[in-house]
Amino acid sequence: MSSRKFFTFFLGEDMFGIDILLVREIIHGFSLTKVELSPEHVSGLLNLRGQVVTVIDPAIALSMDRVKPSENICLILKPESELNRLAVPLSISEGIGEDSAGLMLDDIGDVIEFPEDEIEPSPANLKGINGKFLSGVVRKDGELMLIMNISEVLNSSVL
Amino acid sequence: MKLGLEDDAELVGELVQESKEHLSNIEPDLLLLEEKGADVSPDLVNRVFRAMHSIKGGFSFLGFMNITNLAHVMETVLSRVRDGDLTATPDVVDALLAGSDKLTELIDNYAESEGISIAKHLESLEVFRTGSGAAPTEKDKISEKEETEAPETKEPEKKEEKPSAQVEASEVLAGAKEPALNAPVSGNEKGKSVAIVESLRVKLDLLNSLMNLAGELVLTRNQIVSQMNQRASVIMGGSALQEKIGDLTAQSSKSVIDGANALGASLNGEFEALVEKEFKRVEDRFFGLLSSPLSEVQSIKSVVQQVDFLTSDMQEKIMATRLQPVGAVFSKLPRIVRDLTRSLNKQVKLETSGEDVELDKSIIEALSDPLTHLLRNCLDHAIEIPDEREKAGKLPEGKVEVAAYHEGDQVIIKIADDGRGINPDAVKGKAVEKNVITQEEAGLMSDKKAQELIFAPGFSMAAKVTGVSGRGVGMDVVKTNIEKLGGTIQLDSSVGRGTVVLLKLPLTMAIISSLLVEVRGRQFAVPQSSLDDIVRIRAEDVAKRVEVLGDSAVIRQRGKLLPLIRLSDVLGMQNRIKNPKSGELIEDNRNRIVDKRQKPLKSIFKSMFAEIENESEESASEASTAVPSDLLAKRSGKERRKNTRSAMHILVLKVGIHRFGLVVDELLNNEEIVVKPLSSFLKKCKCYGGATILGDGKVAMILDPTGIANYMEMKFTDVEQENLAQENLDAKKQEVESQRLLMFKNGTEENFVMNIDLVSRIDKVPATDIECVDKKEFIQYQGKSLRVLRLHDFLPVSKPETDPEIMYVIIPKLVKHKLGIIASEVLDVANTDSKLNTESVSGLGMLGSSIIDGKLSIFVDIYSLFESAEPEHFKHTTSGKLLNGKRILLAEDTAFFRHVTIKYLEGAGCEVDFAENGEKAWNMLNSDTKYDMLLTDINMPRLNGIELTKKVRSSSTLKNLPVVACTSLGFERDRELGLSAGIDAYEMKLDKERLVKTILQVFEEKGGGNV
Repeated sequence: MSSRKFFTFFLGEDMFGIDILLVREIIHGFSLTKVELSPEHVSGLLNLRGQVVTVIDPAIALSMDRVKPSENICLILKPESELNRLAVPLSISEGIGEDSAGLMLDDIGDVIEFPEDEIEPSPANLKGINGKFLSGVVRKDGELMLIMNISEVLNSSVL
Repeated sequence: MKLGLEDDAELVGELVQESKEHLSNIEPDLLLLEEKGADVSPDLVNRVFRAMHSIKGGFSFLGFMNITNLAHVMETVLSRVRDGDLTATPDVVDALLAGSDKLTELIDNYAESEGISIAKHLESLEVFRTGSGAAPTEKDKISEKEETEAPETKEPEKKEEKPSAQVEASEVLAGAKEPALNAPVSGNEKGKSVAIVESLRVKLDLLNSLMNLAGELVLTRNQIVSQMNQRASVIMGGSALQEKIGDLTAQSSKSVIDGANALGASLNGEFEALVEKEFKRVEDRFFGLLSSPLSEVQSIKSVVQQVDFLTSDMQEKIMATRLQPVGAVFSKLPRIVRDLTRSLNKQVKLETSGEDVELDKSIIEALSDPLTHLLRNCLDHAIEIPDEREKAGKLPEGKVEVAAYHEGDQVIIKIADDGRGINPDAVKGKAVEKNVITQEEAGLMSDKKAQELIFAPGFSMAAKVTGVSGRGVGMDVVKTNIEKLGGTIQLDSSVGRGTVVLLKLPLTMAIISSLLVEVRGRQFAVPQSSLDDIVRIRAEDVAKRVEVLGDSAVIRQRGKLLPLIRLSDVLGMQNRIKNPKSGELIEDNRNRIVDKRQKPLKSIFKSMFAEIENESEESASEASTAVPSDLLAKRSGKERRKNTRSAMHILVLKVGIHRFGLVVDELLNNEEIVVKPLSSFLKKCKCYGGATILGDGKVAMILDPTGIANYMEMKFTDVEQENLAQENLDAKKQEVESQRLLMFKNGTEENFVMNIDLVSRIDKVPATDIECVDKKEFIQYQGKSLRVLRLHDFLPVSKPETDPEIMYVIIPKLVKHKLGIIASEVLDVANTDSKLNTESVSGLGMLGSSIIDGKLSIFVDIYSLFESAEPEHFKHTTSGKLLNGKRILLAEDTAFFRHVTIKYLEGAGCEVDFAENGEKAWNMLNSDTKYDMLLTDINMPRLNGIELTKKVRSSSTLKNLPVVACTSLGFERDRELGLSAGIDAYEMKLDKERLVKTILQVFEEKGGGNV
């Protein structure tokens, strides 16, 4: 049975994971330019070596109860073209889009590897999070890791 | 043999690319073929033939039989043309063009090409292929053998008059080998030989990523330079320190030595030397520490400068790789003209120039549709059918010119036609019908503005919808598209003569020059292209200059109202005002423009005033000095914030024909910025045109004026209507042509007035200098004695009781016999458009009365006054009705002059009708042809005297009508213009004697009409 590696991070107290293949890099200590009139969950824009990255606050996209990201940590996602070049399976890369996007995180956790069959489908509603934003959950030592459906989170903000 | 597509995707790709280039060259050649007809040069046919042959060869090699067969039939038809068996009649060329269109379609969809039917095209071509002439050399299917040989054959042999089958083969083969490299635009019909510059195909992806990298390099360069400058200033500060230390050590060593000397003279030179040495050592070490960074900075600085220079250069070069000649777009036009003129039964000659002017590829691509649309419009609406053109005295063949040229850092594309022009009235009518404007607005609108209505959304001019144009998605789309490219569109149309449309385009889109502004401590970039003006209003003037109209705050600028919005309100930023007591910034929630529940704008500027009032004490002194915007940028943050409150900075932005003012806190500097498109997450934020990275590495948003105006649902209407009303008022004022009047007194209550144009000069005279001789009074004037008149002696007005010591003499001009008028007091010169009341006051020497500045004033008629004073000088003109029985039409917009002139003319026995403006006069002339003469003013609203005369002269029924012009100005330029327009004579207004004389003269010369 094949296994997948997940990058884990925290939004408030909740642990989330995304497939490590989607992660380009983690950056700290950047300055964010707020964009007035933008959808609420767009935190702003940052300059990543000359590239403008749109930073999303997933906690807001997920309607989570959290005031503000506690730390200035941003996870930069790979755009779709890069994922395709790296031959990342479509099941993971689908719907990521061409825009350079990043996610505001509260904290980062470990990289965890799971056999695929340990991933359970997500319930319709989990801790107040709409199930469509999750592509599964994994239980580990009594803790719950929510696998974030990145494409849903990103596309929710287009609306 | 059919190759697997997967294996040879690249090969097919190249072939498709190459074939499309061939096809784009074939089209103009075919058109030329048609034009030349029977005298076609073999070179031309061969060129087309070869291109077709290489398409056929390539695709047959890969096994695309539909493409191969179609190309083959076309090639065969071409070979018959070349051999002289077939003439390229329009029908033949039609079939070939249709075939080439089909080929393009097939090649575009090569994978499905086998499923697309080509039967119709084969059939129509077949007719020409199997004519009665000699059978073509090649038969139906081509052997693969021949084709596979193709790529290995020898160099082209071009000069063949009558090719034999063998020679043809070699040509054909050469054709197949002809490199597709020599360019997309070699389709220049004249067969110009283009010097071949070596070139290479580069994938667009690669170019795009190079572009991006160059953009990023520019940004990095900007960051390096800005950091460099910061460091340098710190270190330069260090060098000043160095000097100070030098001074200090020298001083210290001296004072130690002096101190020591003071202690006792016993010290020998050794001590001094030691002290100096020690201090020197300290100093040297210090300098060493300081100077090493200084010299390092110097050397780094030169490197940075070099990098700076190279970056700019490289960026320019990379940008140039994306430039393409506009010829790529122009080459499509002849075909459009040909097809359209055939279907519309018009004759049009297309002239293109400037094909080699280059623009960014993305602009070239986006230009194609608007340009095509404009050309179609030209052909459909502007160019008349040949009959109509001949009737209008034009050549039956219309002319459309499409030209590209550079102007500054822009490229201009000009589309000019000699068609019927845009009729402003027709446009207005249509716009009213389509609810684009109201009837009322239409009435007020100038012709130029009316013509620009064709760019309004939802406007389509065609009387009926045709397949060619008039689908209602017309010029507004063209305009939007051009504006999307960062360009502008200009229209200049004159009825009957044609229309010129100018498209002004930037060379490239990726880097734009912008003005950086600051609001609430945040920076934004505003594209220079949409910036019309910058207005700075000083604090103390804000309350005075900002007015509230309806829901908008406005200022007056160049006589027009400019609606204002604050950028912070647009963006919904919290407006912070300073607490006057604590000095703390507090949130001001009283009025957020985006909060639609509240009444917008109206209250906003109240808070703006409030802000200023809060600050006025501390900023009063500062605000009184105008600070140039570039200096502002250098101020420290604290000062800057203070300044925010003291003055108002307004960016005047253009959005189509609208303008509005965007209020910002600060103007920073101009910067060339790289436009980074917004991600899809932000596509809904219409206020931004993109983002950019500034020199300090921060991301800044680029503002989009169109988006801002739309987002704010900016109600231009209030302001527009006000502006229209203003224009209307101006026009009306012009219509009555306010006159400037000299107001004076004659020692009594009444005011007297006369037209200032009639006054030569006014002199002061001591009352004692007025001499009385034989009941007539005289003064010495310019060495002669001049008779002066007292008004009460000639007019029925009361006599003053006493004379003041100093009197005034008004000396009129434009009179043959000079006299002066005595006045007790000269009051003022007033502008007035008051109506002249001719009934309340009547009598010789008076024209009438009017209320001016609240006082009854009597208009003095100097001519009749003088006439009654010295009848002997006026005898010959008054002794009889010289113009008896003549009917004259007077076109005069000023009531005063109209009245006076009518009075004069009627006095001479004429019958006079009048019109208030040229347009009305023109209508009157056309409805009643019994006028003997047109007497016209030059400056009139709607239709001026010159234009009116031109119309008269070009009319078949009126062209011999005598025309005399009256002017109060007597400018030579007017006179020349008038004479060339066909005016028979000029005369001054208000000079009765000369006017009548001139009219008589003209009647004598021209024959007196219906006497």
